[in-house]
Amino acid sequence: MKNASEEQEIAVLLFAVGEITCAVDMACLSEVTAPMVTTPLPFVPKFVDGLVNISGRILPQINAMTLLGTAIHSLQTLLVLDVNDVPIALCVNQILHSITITPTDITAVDSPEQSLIGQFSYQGKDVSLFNSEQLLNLVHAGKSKKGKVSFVGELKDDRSVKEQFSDFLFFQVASKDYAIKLADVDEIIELDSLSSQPRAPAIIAGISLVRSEPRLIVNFSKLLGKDNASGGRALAIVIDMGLAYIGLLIDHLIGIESIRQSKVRSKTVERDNGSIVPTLHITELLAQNMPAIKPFIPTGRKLDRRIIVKQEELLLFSINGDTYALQAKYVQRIVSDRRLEPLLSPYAWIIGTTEIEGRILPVVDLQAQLGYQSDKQQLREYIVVDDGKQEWALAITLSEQILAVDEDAIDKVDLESTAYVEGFVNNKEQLITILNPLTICHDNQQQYVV
Amino acid sequence: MANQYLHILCENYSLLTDIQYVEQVISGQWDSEQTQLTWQGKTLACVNLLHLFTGNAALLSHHCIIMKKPESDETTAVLVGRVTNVQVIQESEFDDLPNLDFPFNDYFDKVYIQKTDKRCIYRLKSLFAIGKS
Repeated sequence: MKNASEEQEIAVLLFAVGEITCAVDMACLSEVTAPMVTTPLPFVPKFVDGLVNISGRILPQINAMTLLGTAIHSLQTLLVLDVNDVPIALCVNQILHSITITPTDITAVDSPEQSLIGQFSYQGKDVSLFNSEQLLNLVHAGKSKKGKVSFVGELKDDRSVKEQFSDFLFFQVASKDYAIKLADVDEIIELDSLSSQPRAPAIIAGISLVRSEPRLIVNFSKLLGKDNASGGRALAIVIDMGLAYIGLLIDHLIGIESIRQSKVRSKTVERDNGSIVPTLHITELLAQNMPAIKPFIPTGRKLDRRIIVKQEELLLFSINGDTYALQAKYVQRIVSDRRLEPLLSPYAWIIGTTEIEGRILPVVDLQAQLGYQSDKQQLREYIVVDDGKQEWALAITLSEQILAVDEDAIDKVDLESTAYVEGFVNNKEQLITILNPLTICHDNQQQYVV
Repeated sequence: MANQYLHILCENYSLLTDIQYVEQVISGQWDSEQTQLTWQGKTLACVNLLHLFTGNAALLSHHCIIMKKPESDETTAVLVGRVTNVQVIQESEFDDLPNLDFPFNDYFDKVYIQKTDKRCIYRLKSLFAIGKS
């Protein structure tokens, strides 16, 4: 009958390390594999080959030959040992086979520096038994290094340092520096052209084509309640306000700077050079001024071309280099070189009357009404429009052409607006402002009796 | 989140450092005796990473990385074997280093496995801060 210790059998795997036969407890063995590419590690003992990637796990690799001081053999095998849930790779030579031994077979040896726990005899040869736990100790595996002060000091965890910075865009408006959060900025654009809008408040700088789309450009200095006008290159910061992209004219761009969180205050930021710069909550600022801005925002177009697209005919004409249009449906006819009878008491922008086919029509100086300097001698053509109540003659210098455009190519402005602009259209990168003759005539109608 | 990293070789060690603090990379030849370097009229303390990791004083550094602290004008020169390229690596592509208690933990915080040869590249914790050690 066997005693208790004889019954406690241990399965071990035999393998060669140089000229020595070794064994390891198979309870710790999780995988046997061919050698893998190792990457050396600095500041580790020589018996640590480096790191090896085994099935996506990155393990330290111990070289048993270097550890035991044997000759290096080219025939190598990797044993992946899992000790207390800590995996390590042990590089050995040829795998022999597995056997079962009992603790009484083992003669204890004291060689912790080589991680050997004992020896036993097998087929007349001495076999050295590895202590797997001691292998972990050799590479200090599993020991926590948390809380240790590294030589890199406070910047030990670089990731957390990055999170303490916020990016700000710095720029100048009305000769003063400002900053806004970069996250609020959609893009910064250089404006090729800017078409001013008739009868628009000072806050509206105009409309500019940005990648072929009309965009409202706001005068930033006026938005801030300053009088200074922007000069130099026409640069605009574009903000996505949800219902539209709005450009803000700036004097010039200073740049982007990452500001430490501790330097960001509620209304200012402190730059690297020590200067304190006021910050603007730009979306809030625009939202507060939206009643004045909204009527001038070009609406988005319908882009669904599956719908049969209607066409609108536009009568084009220029005023002081800006191209305007009236929808042809409002235009009755165009006449030129008509005799103008001045009014005894000029009213609004009505400069007189003219007779067309027996009817006396009021003549409106459209250029003056749109805010341009007008030379009455140059007004040679009259566009006759009907506002539903009566006919009017809108005096211009010269009409240009009739242009047919897709209805959905017209960016219409808010219909509730009392402004003279009905919409915009981009014709081969030329911005055309479409006027609303009804509102134009309406403003001349008050108290006037034809 | 993807970051750009400078890929550095120091003999057998492949290293990555976040490009955000890198001001300039200078080519040249420096030995382990080089302790200071003049850059834009300023004398900078040199840290020889090649010597630090290899322990081989005979090796020459071929690139010098000028690191600038973002919140100050503090600048450091770090000598390395070579700078090979810039790599864009997602944070999720990095693995943890095995938990081994050796001094490399002071320098590296993550490891990236190269897709081509399966070798490890160690991510430096803060190359800039090495100059203060």
